[in-house]
Amino acid sequence: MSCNEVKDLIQLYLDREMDARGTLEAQRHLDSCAACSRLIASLLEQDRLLKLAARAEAVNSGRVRASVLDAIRNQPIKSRFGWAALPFWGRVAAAAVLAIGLVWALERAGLLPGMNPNVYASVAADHADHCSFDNFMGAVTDSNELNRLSGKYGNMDVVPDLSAFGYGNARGRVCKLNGSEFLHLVYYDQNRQAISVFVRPRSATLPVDQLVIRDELRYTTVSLSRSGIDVIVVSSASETHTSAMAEAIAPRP
Amino acid sequence: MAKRQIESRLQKFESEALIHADSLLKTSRRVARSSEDAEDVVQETFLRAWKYFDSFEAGSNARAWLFRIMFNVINARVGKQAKLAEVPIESDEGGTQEPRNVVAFDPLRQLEGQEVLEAAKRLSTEHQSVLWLVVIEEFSYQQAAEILEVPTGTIMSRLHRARRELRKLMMNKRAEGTGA
Repeated sequence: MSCNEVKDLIQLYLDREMDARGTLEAQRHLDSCAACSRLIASLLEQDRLLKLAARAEAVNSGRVRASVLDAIRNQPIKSRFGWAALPFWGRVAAAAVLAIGLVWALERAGLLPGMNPNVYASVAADHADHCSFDNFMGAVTDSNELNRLSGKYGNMDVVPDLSAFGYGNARGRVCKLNGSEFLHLVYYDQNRQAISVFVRPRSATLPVDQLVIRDELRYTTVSLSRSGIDVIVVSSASETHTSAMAEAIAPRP
Repeated sequence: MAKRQIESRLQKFESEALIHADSLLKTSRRVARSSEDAEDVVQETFLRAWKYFDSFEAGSNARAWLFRIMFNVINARVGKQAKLAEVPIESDEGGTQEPRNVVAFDPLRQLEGQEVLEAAKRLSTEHQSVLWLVVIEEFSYQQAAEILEVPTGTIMSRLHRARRELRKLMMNKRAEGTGA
């Protein structure tokens, strides 16, 4: 190794970053070259003095350590019931509980599809559609089938009888309103607008525990939930009249 | 996290991280503007380290990890300084450099270490940082490069410059002392 090569690599030698072979070659050169040897010695001494002085320099990190420990200890302790503190299965369980709670809250607020008060507007609209078609397209007129559907959706032996209110000739079909399946029955009277009766098995998803009356499209919509079924009656009759029909379909036990 | 868990984690933190407080503080003093700043930097370093202590792999080099955090803290405070243009060691020889193969005199022979330390303070922050990490803290070039987030070649060139500048300062001091 020449003097120039040693000078180029002197830093690696000083910092022990040179490989064993290079170190050996450099050492051989230094043993035989007084100038390079003095240069190396000078720089080594510079490093040694710097290191010695720096290490001897007084420093008191006690205050920093104490303040770090204080700061850490005074950090607000995360709740032991916090999300991060839960194991994986705990997070899954918590997420499930939260999801159920959220669905329940949305149901209560009527914000889920097919489960909200908008269903009243839908039934009214559906009623209006059927009233505009004389033949109630696709409707079931067979009494046996109507009885069967009434049993399935309304827990009744036969199709509700509204002849006491002047309505008859029931026709029906199964329809979905806001994602919820109903049996839609239409009753006719020669002198008045037809009425619609929607029935389905009791569902917690429709807040019809109490009698709810709304005017939709100038119709009176009455709903009630009783005896295991939900009933919605839409008519052009008065509120009293419409309520009475709903009561007749789902009488008090 | 329960208080007992925190204390247990804190014990580990003390034995693996806080034991390096002196080294960090000394280095921080070199590059911070004041001793108060230096302490703030070290405190912030440890608080960050505490935050990510769980992700720190036990058995790996905690000291290098802490130094890296500290230089991140420093850089965040002062803003990343413009990186020095990388100058190859070979071409970094100025006209004032002593002729090759010739050492006019050894300025260090009779000087005390304190004088070298004082002279080192006159170096730029970047030169002090690299000198401190490699010479004093004995980090490898690779480790220093990771701590300062620069290429290894930059570490080498900065170190070369730092040593050369320091040597020049010491020679001047020696010359002043002898009335030359």
